[in-house]
Amino acid sequence: MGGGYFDLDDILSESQKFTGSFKYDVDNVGCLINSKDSAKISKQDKLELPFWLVEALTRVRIGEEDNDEIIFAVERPEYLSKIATNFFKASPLNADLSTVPHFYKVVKNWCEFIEQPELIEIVFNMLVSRASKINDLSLNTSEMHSRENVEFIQTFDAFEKELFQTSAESYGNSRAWIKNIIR
Amino acid sequence: MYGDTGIKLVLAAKRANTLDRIPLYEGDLVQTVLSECNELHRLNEISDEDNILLTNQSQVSNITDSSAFGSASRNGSALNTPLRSSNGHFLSSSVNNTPGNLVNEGNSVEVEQTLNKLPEYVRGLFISQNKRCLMAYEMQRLRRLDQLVWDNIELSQEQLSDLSHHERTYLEKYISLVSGVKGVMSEIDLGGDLEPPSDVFIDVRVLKDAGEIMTEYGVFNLVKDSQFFVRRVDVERLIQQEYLKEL
Repeated sequence: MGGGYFDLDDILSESQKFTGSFKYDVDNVGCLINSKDSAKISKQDKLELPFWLVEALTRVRIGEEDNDEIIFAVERPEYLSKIATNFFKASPLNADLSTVPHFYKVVKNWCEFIEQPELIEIVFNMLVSRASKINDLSLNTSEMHSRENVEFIQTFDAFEKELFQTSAESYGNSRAWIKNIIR
Repeated sequence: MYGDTGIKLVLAAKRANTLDRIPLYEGDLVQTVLSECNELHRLNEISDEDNILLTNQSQVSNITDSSAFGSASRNGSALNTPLRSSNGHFLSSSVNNTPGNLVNEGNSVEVEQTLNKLPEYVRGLFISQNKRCLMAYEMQRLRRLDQLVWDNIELSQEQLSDLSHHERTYLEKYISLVSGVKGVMSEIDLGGDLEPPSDVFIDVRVLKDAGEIMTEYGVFNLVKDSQFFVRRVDVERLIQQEYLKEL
C-alpha cells in the first residue's frame, strides 16, 4: 500500500477517530474536547481522538520499566468488534467498508498498535475474496451496472476503489495491446 | 479541535489529484494552520516559563526547609506568595515534597509530574501533525509542477497566478535545473515521449497560428485549420504545446 510521511492517504487514515478515556483526571488539555484549554477532563469522560494522537498518548507511561501503566486507554471501535468481524468472515462481499473511508489502512494502523493476528487474518481473507470479485467486475465492465454490482461498488473503501480503477485500466490496456498485435 | 484545518488541506490536496490542472493555492487555510502552530508554540513557551518558575520555587522551599530559621526563610516565603497563587500546582507539589509523603505517594508525584507535562506534549504533537499536513499539501503541488516541467507543458498566465509566490520561484528554478540536466546530454532528447512512435510521418491539423517552421523537407506555413503530412520528430514539440493536433 506504499505510504510515508507525505502520503495523503496515510495522513487521512491516521486521522480516523477512536474513542478512549484517560486513566487519571487531567487538567489543561481542554483542547482535546473542544473546550477552553483550562478545562478539566475526568476519568469518566469519553474522548474522540484521531489515531495519531491516540498512539502518541498511549506512549506516555508512568512507573518503573517492568511495572508501568498507560495514562490513556483506547476502545476497540465498533466496526472491528466481534460482531463486525464475524460478519466479515461470514459474508465478506456484503460488508460495507465505505463508512470507514480508509478501512484497510485503519486496520493496518490498529493492528500495528495492538497485535491481533486473528483480526489480521479475517480482514486479509475478506480482502482476498473481495479482490477477486473486483477483478471479475473490472474484466466485465458491462456487468457493472446491474443492481447487485452497483451496491457492491458502493461499499468500497479508498484502497478498493483504487484497485478497481487500476485493474479496469489494465484490462483495457491489455485488450488494446492484443488488438494491436493481431492487426 | 486543533489539527482539523490541516486535515482540510490534505483533503484539498487529495481532491486536486483528480483534477487536470493545479487548483488555486489555499493561502487562507495554510495561513490558518500556521497561526494555529504559532499559537500552540506561544502557549508552550509560556508553560515552559511556568515550569522554570516551579522548579525554582521548589528549590527555594527546599532551602528554607533546610535552613529552617532566620530572616532568609521569611524573605523567601514572602517572595514566593505571589507566584504561589499564580500557579495552582505549586501548592500540591510542595506538599508532596515533604519527606513523609514522598515515601507513601512516590507514585502520585510521578503521576503529577507526567500530567503536568501533558499539555505541553499534546501541543507539541499538534504542531508536528500540522507540519506534516502542510508539507504533504505542498509536496503534492510541487510534484505536479515537476511533472509539468518534464512533460514540456507550459503554464498559462492564468494558471501561474493560481500558484503561490514561492511556488513560482520554485518552478523557475526547477525549469532551469531540468534544462541544465538536458544540456549535459544534448544528443538524447530526455524530455521526449517514452512511447515508441508507430509511424515516422503523421497527419497534423493546426489549432492556432504558429508561423513558419523549417524542416528537412522544406518550409511549412502553419496557418490555423490547415493540415500537413510531416515527420513526427519535427513537430513533436508543437504538439506538446498544443499548436498542432495529431489526426
